[in-house]
Order: sequence, then C-alpha cells, then structure tokens
Amino acid sequence: MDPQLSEDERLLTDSARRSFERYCPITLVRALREPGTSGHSPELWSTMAAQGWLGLGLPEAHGGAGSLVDLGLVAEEAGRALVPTTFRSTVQAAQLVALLGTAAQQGDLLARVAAGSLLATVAELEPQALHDPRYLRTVATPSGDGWVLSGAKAFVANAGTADLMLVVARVADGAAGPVLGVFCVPAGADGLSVSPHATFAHDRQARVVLDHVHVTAEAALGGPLGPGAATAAALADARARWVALLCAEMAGGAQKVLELTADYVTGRVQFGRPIGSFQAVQHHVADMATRADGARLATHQALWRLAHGRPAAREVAVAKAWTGEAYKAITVMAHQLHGGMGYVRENDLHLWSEHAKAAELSLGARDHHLFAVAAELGLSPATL
Amino acid sequence: MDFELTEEQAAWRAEIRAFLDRHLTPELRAELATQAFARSPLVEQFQKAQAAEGWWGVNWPREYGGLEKTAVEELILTDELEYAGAPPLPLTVTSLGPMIIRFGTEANKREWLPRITRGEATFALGYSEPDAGTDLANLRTRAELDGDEWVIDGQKIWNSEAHLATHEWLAVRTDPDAPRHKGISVIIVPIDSPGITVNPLWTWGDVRTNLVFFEDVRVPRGNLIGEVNQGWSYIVGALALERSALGSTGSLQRLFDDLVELCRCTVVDGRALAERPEVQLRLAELDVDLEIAHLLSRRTASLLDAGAIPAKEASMQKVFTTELRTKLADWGMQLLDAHGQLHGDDDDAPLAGRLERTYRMAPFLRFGGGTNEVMRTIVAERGYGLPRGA
Repeated sequence: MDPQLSEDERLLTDSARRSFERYCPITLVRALREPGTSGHSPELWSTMAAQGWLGLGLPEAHGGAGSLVDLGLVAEEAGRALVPTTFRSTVQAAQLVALLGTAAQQGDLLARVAAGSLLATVAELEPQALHDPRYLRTVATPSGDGWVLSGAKAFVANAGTADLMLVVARVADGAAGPVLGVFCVPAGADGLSVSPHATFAHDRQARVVLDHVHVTAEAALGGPLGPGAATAAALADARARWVALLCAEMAGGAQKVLELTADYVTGRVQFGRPIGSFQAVQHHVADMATRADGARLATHQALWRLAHGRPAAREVAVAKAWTGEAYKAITVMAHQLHGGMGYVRENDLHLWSEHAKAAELSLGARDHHLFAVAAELGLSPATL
Repeated sequence: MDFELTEEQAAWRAEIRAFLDRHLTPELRAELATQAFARSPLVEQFQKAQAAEGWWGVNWPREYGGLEKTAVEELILTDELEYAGAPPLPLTVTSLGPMIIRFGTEANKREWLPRITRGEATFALGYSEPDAGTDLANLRTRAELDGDEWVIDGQKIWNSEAHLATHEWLAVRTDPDAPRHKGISVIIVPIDSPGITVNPLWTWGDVRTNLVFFEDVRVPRGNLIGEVNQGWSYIVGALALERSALGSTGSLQRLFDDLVELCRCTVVDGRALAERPEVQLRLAELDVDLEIAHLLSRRTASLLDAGAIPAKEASMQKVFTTELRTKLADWGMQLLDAHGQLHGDDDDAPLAGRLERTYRMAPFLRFGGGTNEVMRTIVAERGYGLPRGA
C-alpha cells in the first residue's frame, strides 16, 4: 500500500508536464478553439508520439509500452495543460480496439495510433440514448460481404478531424437487449455526414448521420463473430477506462486551477495586505485543496485497479462522482477568489471552467455514478 | 404577519402584467433572448414606455416625480419584470436616484431627478479601479477644482454600463490628505465629455464591461452630488440598495419553472427526465431553496418599508440568492446530462442555452456588488455582534 507515485511515475509526470508546457502553451490552446481551425495540432501530436505517450496502455505486441496508470498520469498532465481532445478521443478508440479488436485489427490500428499516424474517435451516444443501449437506434445490417450502417449519433468528439470513427450499432435484437457491434468507419465514407455542435467548452463535438454507409466485413471490430456478448463486455470495460482517464484529466485541471488561485490570492493586495492572508480566503483555498487531493487519490486508485485487472466498478464510480464535482467546484471558487480579474475572457481561468463542466457532463454526470456506487453497495440496481 | 399579497398589491401586479402583455412584444422577446443588456431601438422603446408609467421613479417620493411605491411593491415590479424576461429597471432608478433624494442638494435634485424619471439620464457606476475592488476606499481617481470646474484624472474598471449610459456616477478622491474614507466625493460626468476613453472588456458571461480612462475631463462644479468629501456614505448607501437588487429571484423562478417543464418533456434512455427519482429530488431541493430566497427578499423589502436599514438581511439575501443562481444552472445542466453541454449558439440547446449562459454569468453576481465573503462578515458582525476581524 502506497498511494504515492513511484520514482518512475514521478519522472513520467515531470517529463509530461515540461513537454506540455513547451508544446501545448495556453496560446496554442486558445488558437485551436477558434472557429475555422481543426482543433488539432500536428506538431504537438508528433511530439506526443515521439515520447511514446500515444502507445501507453496498449499491448506491447502492437507498438504499445507502459501501463494504464502511466497513460493516466499523462492524461492528468494533459488536463492540466488543456491538451486538445483529439488525445482523449483517440485514446478512447484505441482502448476499445485493444479490448475488442482481432489481432489483425490491433496490429494495424494500434500500431498507427502509437506511431501518431491515426486520429480516432468513438461514435456511441444518440440524442435519446445516453447510457442504455436498449435505446440505441443506429443499426448495422448485413449486406453482401459487409455491413450497412444507418442512424444518427451525437456528441461525437473530433468527428471532423478523426481518420477513423468507431460506430456502435445494433445488429440484432436479443432477449436481454440489442446485440451490439462496433464498426470501423473511415473519414469521408459515402453516406457519412458531420455537423458540429456548439458546445460549452468549444471542444469539437458533432452530430454524425450515417445514411447507408457501407463497410467491409473486416470493419466489424472483433471480426465476423465480433457482434454479440463480447462487444457489450468490451464496451463496458472500455467505458470504465474512459471514465478513469477522464477523471485523470479532471484531476490535473483541478490541481492547476488550485495553483493559479493560490498564486493570485498571494499576489493580489487589498486593504494593504494580500487577500490570501484573510481567513475567509484561506479556508476556501484549503477546501479546494482537499477536493483536488481527493480527486487525484480516487483517480489513481481507479486507474491502478483497472491496470492490475482488479474489480474496479466501485472505485471508478467513486472517482467520477467525486472528481467531476471537485473540479467544477474548484473552478467556481476560483472565479470567486479571482473576482473581476479572472472573469474577463483575456484571463485563462474560464478555459478550465469550461473543461471542468464539459468533463462533468461527459460519460455520466454525478447522479449516474452515485447510482453505480449504490449498486455496488448491493442496493437495488437503478433502472436508468 | 401576512404571507399573501394585499388587494392593493395584487392590483399592482395585475397592472404590471397588463403592461408586459402590451409592451413585451414577440420581437423584443426574441431580441432579448439573444443579447441581454444590449441597447437597441426596441429596448429603448420599451424603456420609454416603462418611464411613461412612472416606473423610473417607482420608489421615489411624489414631489420628485415618483410613484412613492413601497419596497414590497418595488420588489413585485422587479420580480415580474425578471420573470417575464423584460429589461430590468436601471440601477440609476433603484439605487442612485434614492441617494440623490436623500443626500443631494436642491440643485442636484432639480437637475437630475426629472431627467431620470423621463428616461433621459442613466448612470454607469464608476467605482472600482484596478487596485480598488473590494477595498473600494483605495480609489485614486482624482478630481480637483479649477475655477468653476472639476478636473478629473484616473481610470475605472468593471464600468459595465459605460457604453450604454449617458453619464458616469463617478467616485473620485477630492481630498488626498484626508483619511481614506473622508476624501471621497461623487460627481456626475457626461459620458461624452472630452478626455474620456471607453475600452471594452468582454467577460466569460458574454457581458461587456469596460475599462474607462479619464484625462483632464472637465465638468461644471454643480455636478458634485451632495457635499464634497462626503461621497463614501452615498456609495455605501447605494451599494446596500443594489444588494437587494442583486438578490432578486424573478429570473431564477422563471428558469426553474422552464427547467421543470423541460424535464417533463425530455425523454432519454426510454424515460422522461421528470420520472426519474434523482431528477425529482434535485428539482425539489431547488424548489425549497427558491422558496427561501423569495422569503428572504420579501423580508428585506418589508423591513425597508418599516424604516429599518436591513444590512444583515440584505447581505444574507445577496449571498444566498447569488449562490443559488450557480446551483440552479449547475444542477440544471447536470440533469440534462450530455445535452447540458450544448452552447446557446446550438439550435438544439436546451432552453436556448439559458442554463449554460446563467452558469457563465453567475460568478459575477457573487463577487460583484460586495463579495459574498464581505457579505458573510456583515451578517456575522452586524447581525450577531461578532467582534470585528483585523
């Protein structure tokens, strides 16, 4: 038992922090939010690939190196630096491929992800199906030696820039709900149309309409026998990893906002003294610090359990329920302590405030994860 | 004790609603939904109609052109305007005019009050400076007499109405040698005076505020309000009135009512949001909080009508209501799950983005008009006699 980072883990964290400070400064973050840009930085991406970070948490046989914990530590630094979401969406897709793909699919796709030559994303949510696959309407129908996909997806990250989209669709109706499949759809496929959402965090999510999109048999993740129980299990396992990695991003962002705020109240003088010398301010900062530390600890625990194949449903849900609220509350209090100085758009604070709220509302908000915690307590499962 | 409107108050509310039916046109509503706080021909037309009703003097004595309504009646008006989403009464009417009435010279009253009631003069609050925020008494903008004119030099920040108002209600230092609170005066400055530069500052809440520079700005000696070097008490008095306005609840109630309706008709994962136990509990808690907010604001108003100075009560109301604004927007966005991420610019945004916009605007109300930390200190010290901190 030692919740602290090991020496190697600390080195990785330090190196990621230094690299992101250099290659992902806040000026780049702001530039990539502007309308008309792709939201993606090839230079940053190749730096991340060169450091080996895009292969973290992936099988060594396919170009991977490093554990899911290592990946989480880099994600934490990415959250601190507000690295564009192409990192998150590509990692999410890669994790799903690692869990569900055939050896050939993994060999092809994961090697390209690790090398930095493939941007990817997952298209799962639909406007009326956010957590329960029984309400997914996108369908995959066998056609010739492949499949035809039709339906409408929402909140697809980086749909406009990803080279590859993993589309979750129903292939048949089963007794316990739909049989699901995951299909690789290349960018620009016939019948695929993408229209951007305007989102709170300006973070490149889109609606995606699939109008009779043809894909080959090899496009079904897991091969011809892929669709079925294995898919549902792989999706559940992948989602647990996505949540833990998103928590890592949030924990990193929360720590940064705490540090920005501590700096501000130390330097800002009113009534002839730094406002950080007032107890009311100190108590707020202490509460922010407790929230941030709890977020990192809960996140590291969830990542560690997932990385070591231990049961982690409870710890993942605890991490998301705590960290989403913590990060958001830290940004809300940061605004309070910065006053007008932190409220103008010229100040960077709102960039984290938006990241915090968007992350809180992604992959299930607080109540969703509290029900998961209740279910782990053996209380009647929520019928969400 | 009486928790219902009197007949007279109910009639007043009906009068307000009838006015809103006539003047809050669909065109104006559409415009307000997209750009709050902007000035436009439609908004000006609405404000002229408000002024013609006598509302731009609603709480003033009749001798100054006011309607002499009670604070409770003023609250009814404010709540109705907010609930309907109409342009609010300006602070000039609710907070600054009353200071002119209380502290102004006869000449001040004759010059400014009729222009306010006619809707011809509105004031931007020229208080904060980069080094004088919560510590407002640290302000350094100078005014010196030169013959029959004040000459003003300095800068003001968070000067939110400077691009909309006709004048500045400017806090200036007129005696640099006096103790901090004793050398401050209030001078009214036409916003189009030579030497004024208004630079926009855009905020996260999409509301424009301004950084305003004053360089050798000259105004007539008579633009001084009340007595020289006595301005601090006028500023504090106006802030106290502003606090009640910041603690108003009409727009919160409207957002909540619309959120409940949205939860009834939004179906996700096979069920309406409103059928979910967690949604029901969250909405119920917000309803409880809102009820408390209403009660706190009515108490403040009734104390004002009784002639009291409700410093503790107005501070409590301001803290509670401004923090509830964050909570309502925050929880509303959470109830909508992924859809809560949609920005007001998105055609599919729930409630046309009012939740997310409220979330972005809420911080300003908590630190503006006296930070909530200072407000809490007022509750403890003035309400319960706790010893003053260092």
